[in-house]
Amino acid sequence: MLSCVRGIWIAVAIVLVVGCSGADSPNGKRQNGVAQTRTSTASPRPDELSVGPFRFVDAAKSTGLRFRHYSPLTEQRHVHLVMGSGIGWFDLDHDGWPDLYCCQGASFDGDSNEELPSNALFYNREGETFSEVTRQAGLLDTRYSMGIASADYDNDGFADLCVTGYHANTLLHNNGDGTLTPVEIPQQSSPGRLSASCAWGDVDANGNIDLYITNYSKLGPEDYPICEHTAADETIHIACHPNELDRMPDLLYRNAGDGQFVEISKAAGVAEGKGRQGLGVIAADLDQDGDIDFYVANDTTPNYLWENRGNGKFTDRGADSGTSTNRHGAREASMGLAVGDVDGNGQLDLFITNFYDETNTLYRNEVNLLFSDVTDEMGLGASSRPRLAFGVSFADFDNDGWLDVLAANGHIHDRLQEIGRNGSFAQLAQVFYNERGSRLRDVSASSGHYFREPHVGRGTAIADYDRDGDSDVAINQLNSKTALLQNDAKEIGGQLRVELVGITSNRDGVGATLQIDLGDRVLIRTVQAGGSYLSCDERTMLIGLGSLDQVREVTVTWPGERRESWNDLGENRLWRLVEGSGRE
Amino acid sequence: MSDNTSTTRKPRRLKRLLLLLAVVSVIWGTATIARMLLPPAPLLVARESLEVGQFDLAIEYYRKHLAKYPEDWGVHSELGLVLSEVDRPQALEAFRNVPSDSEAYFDASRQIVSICLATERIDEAEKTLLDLTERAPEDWWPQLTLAELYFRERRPLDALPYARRSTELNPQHGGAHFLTAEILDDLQRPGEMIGSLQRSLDFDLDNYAAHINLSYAYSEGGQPERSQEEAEWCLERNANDVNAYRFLAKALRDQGHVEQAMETLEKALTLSPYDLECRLLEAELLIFDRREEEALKHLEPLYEHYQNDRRLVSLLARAAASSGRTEEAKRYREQVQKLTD
Repeated sequence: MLSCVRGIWIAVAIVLVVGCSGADSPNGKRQNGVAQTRTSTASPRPDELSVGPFRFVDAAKSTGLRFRHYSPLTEQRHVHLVMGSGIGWFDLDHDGWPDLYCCQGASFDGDSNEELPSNALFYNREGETFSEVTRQAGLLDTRYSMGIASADYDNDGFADLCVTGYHANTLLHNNGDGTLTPVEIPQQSSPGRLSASCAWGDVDANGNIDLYITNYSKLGPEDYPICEHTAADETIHIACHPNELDRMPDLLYRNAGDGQFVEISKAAGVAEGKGRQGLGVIAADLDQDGDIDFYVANDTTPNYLWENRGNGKFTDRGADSGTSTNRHGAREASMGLAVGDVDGNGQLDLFITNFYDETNTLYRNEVNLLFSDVTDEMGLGASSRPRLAFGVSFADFDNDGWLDVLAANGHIHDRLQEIGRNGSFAQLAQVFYNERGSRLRDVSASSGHYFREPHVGRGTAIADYDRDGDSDVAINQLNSKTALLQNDAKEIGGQLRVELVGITSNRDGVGATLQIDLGDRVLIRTVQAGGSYLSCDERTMLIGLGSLDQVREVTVTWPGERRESWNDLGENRLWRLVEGSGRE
Repeated sequence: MSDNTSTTRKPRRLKRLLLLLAVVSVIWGTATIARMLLPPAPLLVARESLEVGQFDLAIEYYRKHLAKYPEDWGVHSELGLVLSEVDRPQALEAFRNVPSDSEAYFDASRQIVSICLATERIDEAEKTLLDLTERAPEDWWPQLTLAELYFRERRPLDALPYARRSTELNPQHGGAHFLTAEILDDLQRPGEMIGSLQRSLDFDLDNYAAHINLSYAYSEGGQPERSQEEAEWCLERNANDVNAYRFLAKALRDQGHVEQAMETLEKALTLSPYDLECRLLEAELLIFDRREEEALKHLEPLYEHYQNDRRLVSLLARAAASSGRTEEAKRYREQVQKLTD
């Protein structure tokens, strides 16, 4: 690239050198957030007062959310210990307040001793405080956990969980009484297997939600791969490059509807060959043909876009669609994922986080399963090159009707200086303001103290945990305390909270697409159960309306393409849309 | 009193002067005779021969001297220097004779390195430099030269620690900072070039190469505003620099000024219509603007010359797909796959 000028200078150097119902929550707790007038439970610091569209305050401490991720790095830098863990919002007892499940790591030689740090469940006490209820909920688990995704797989009204990890994955059935019970699934244990993210999606639209789990690698347990870096006669251990690791195909489970899951990975075509190093996964109808497709972020190998052919088979359309690599055909080290309509063209775009010295990549959906990498033009390229991003979330932080972006950054190598690299292990998180679909502007510096201090960020998950009408963020951080970024923006628009209730579709409406007609434009939102990096957002959707006080029409396309609409939905309240209660 | 004293001293002084003159005359005469009768010292002859450009004679007499004084290591080095003008292999031999415990060893080793680099004896140059870095760990020269050697040998990972060490030992050496930046570029770590290029500019503020490279590094390092400043600095001095226009266009694009970026790129393409890098950037902007057919039209003529450029083929695949040319798109995609594998 610089060969001309380089040639001249090198010569010099050589010389020198040489259902529409306004609903109350099940237990009658408050529903209507008043977004514009509220008080933060955490006091802002003086340096947080700079002007910007967003303002976040870390409310973890003030709300009693005390979780510290535990993944002590070994001298050999075993790779799974640097991958971190996810975090997920789900409503344990259906009280209308999202609770938070934090996936926990473990020491390399960790066993199941209950004294060791466990995954933890924090019960949300009406948005004011959190209480840890891990033991009471029957969730003590000291194995190394990675990802979480929540969905009501048996349609009983209570959210169940999938938790992935090293050696084993766990399906947890919600008993509806504040406890969860592990449920057997095929291949749940596999010594050495490191599974990563999981996502729920009803692939055959039969009302029973299915499950996709990404597998990152086979790591021992005997002959666990150990890698070294040598420079200037000094050799140190570093986390292995993915090329040094054995691959494993991903897993797809069909929900049989009787509480049983059947592993159909090969039959469905998603387990061809050796597999790739899968990390993030989202389930959404990307081609708007009425069925659920999967998009998978693979580390240094081409990303998958599994198109649902509607006959129980999936075809990888990553290369055809332009989403397996970046615009230059380069494979990237992909980690986390988000799906949403960023530019307001009515299509679901994809955003994927990548390694240091690569950009994160925004794929604009051009319909017909064709995407364009518009990262640089949309302002997301330059600012991501010096960062290594994991978690990523789309959320409308100021309720103006445009999806903003938050990325959690942090390197995998803690010995960068020792291997002669600049950069740092802990890095600044970033938040981008969506300028009406034309560009995303990095507003991190003015968005609160959290964004001015480096962290080793991993999973991110969105919820309006305090029901004040705006989106908050939980971030799981490697070997550090979990952050709870309370959205404390002063000027935000109105909002609509929507909860789908499937009747013939899956109960949570996971995979459904909402078209929200605002008059001058139509917003597109999709119900997700798994995303970001190893994480999941709360199921209730918060939809920003800008200056509007009501929505002309909301149209829901349920999995299987059934469409129905509801009219004149007023702002600042929860609307529970029950399948079959709308206008077809 | 004083006059008398003065009168009595004059004859004595004169006598002394005459005596001194006589002694000097005798010495001079003896020396002259001796010079006429005895052969001159070989070292002297060698040096005098060198002064008048008689290299062969000089070499002959250096060797005579060394035959008599084989441990005169300084003269081994002198001989090596003379030989390096006429017979490099022999010069190497001369320098190699200098033992490591002599004062002349470091100079001799440097000369060995110079000859080896000039004659592509890379292994010996590397070995000698590694030896020097161990024996004189505080000397910046072998560190920098070894970095340069590795850089030329396309071993940037090996080069980097030595380049960095040389800048620590001699922070005032602008070239060392520049070399470090070049090595980082080879390692595809452009964002890390910034610090090194800034340091190199501390010693040569108007170094054009450093400015244009800095524009590139800022661009890749996620600082488009600064990239723009550097590109504009370059264009003020050279309005025909296609690279500077390209970096400026990229910086403008990254700051959201897509139309300005395209205008800037058009200037570059006027200067160099077939510049691959400019055409790639142009195609990216056109695709963003949903003008895929136009992108395709501009890229296709380049294909014949850059069939193995993955970036070009990837953009062709993307533009062809959006233009409804599915068969071409498929063919390009398959080629991207091959180029990636």
